[in-house]
Amino acid sequence: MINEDVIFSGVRALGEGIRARKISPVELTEAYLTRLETIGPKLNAVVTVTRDLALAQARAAEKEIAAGKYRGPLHGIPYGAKDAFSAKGIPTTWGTAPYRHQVFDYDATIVRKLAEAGAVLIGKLAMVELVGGLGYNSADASFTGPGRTPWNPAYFSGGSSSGPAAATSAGLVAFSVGGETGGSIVQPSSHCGVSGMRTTYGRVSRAGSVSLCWTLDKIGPMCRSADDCGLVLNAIAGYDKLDPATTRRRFAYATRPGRSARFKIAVIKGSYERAQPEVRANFEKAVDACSAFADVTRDVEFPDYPYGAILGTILYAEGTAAFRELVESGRMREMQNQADRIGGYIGMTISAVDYLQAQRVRKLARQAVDELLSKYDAIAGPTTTAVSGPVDEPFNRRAQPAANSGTPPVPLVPAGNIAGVPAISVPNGFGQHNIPTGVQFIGAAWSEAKLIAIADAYQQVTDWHKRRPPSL
Amino acid sequence: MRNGKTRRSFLRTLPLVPVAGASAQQQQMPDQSLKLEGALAEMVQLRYGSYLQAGDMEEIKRGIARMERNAAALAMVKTTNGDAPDFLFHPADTPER
Repeated sequence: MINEDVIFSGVRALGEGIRARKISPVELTEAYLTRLETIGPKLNAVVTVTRDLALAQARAAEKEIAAGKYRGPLHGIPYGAKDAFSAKGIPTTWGTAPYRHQVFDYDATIVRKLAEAGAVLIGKLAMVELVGGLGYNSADASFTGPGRTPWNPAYFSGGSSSGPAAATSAGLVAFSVGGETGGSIVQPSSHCGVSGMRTTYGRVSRAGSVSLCWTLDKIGPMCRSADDCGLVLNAIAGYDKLDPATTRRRFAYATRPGRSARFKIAVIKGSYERAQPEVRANFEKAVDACSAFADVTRDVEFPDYPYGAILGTILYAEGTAAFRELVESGRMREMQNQADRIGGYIGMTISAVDYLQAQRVRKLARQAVDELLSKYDAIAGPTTTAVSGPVDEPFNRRAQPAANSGTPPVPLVPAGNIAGVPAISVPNGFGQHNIPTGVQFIGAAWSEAKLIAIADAYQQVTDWHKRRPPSL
Repeated sequence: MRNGKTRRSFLRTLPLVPVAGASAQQQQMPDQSLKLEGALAEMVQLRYGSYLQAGDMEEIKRGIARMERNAAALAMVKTTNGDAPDFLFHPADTPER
């Protein structure tokens, strides 16, 4: 019987149950499909439920496993894909009104790889329009409506991977795959209380995915645990000739690694002190918990570069170029969010020299961040310094902690994205309005396995990742 | 920080209004900046005016101002001729890379 304990048990446990033939992939898929169809709309988490495809894949999985052909831990596991990734014959809308009837005749590489691993695609999940890159300033920035966190649906799920975060959190899928350019995996993961990993730039192929910024876009897993992130990343990582940015470095993750030596973790001075009180308190408790398996160095200085200016210039320049057809045709007027309707016109005013200066300064900043990361296994920080706001409130109207006085917090998420390095965000408690908070571990390029090990060690001594949102 | 001064300490010294004793050039900077932003906004109006709705141009001007502030912050980071952008050109597809 597929009860809620099974639904929320996570990829590894589900895989073991399927392999042992205690769980039927078909029954599991039916259960998740029902939840996706009934609960998903309440969270504005779904664009397209792929019922026919899902049941066909589930039946194929069940038949193969019965015949002794087991593909691995994702075999028969239902998942959702951010609607940024093409699936053959199924609408791929990019969360953006002019593309709501767009259909590709091929699978994105990650969709193909997950099918080869035996995973079952049950839905294309909602996202912020224009991949959230041209300045949306409120939660209502998708034709599917504002994404809602299952923990308090009056509040924003975060974005741009809004649907994947909400669906994973609410047990509508066993795992999902999202994308990040400037925070779009880790931020919604934090607001929805799931474990989400931004991978190293080039770790996962982006072939068949919408492009926002060619030099910033990354794809990664969003799951119920860090361990599950490792299992999913196993399936989707790797070189792809269709994405020249991909690396030939191998990623291999099988089980919780045994480790005798302690990790070395840095806490950055200025990254958490002025967060919302609950966010700060939860982060400090998380750091204390990490002392069980890591040596923590506090008050570490972070390289001082204009990360916001770097990211903003690259985002607007590349994002405008990526969606130029909407700018030139006037179809930007179809955007849900007013800031998105005009963001492309702002981007058209950035000079080539200013864009190149951003990329030149980026290199200097990246090298400085790389040097810092070479000294530690990870940097730890709050994923966000505040919980998400109400879905009907503009972002700039929210009261930020000491927002208008003193030095702003060190921007770890922009800096990590600029440097192209990985990070994993895992839940570490709750803040205002019962919205989850997250702790992120940022590591050197290609250190995903180590970050997963650190986050998994944290999840061995805490249970925030096992909590379930209220029934909807 | 390569130029020996933190970005944050520099930005605090940027004058929002002309100050007594500032050079004529320094006093002209805010005026020039406004003129540049106005010219860029006019370019947007010329090229895309038919697509804009009431209220859009004010938001666009604010966005242009943000981009100009970004550019100013980036220009403060000292770069030399040898500092290349953080991407490379490859003359041929080289799978061995």
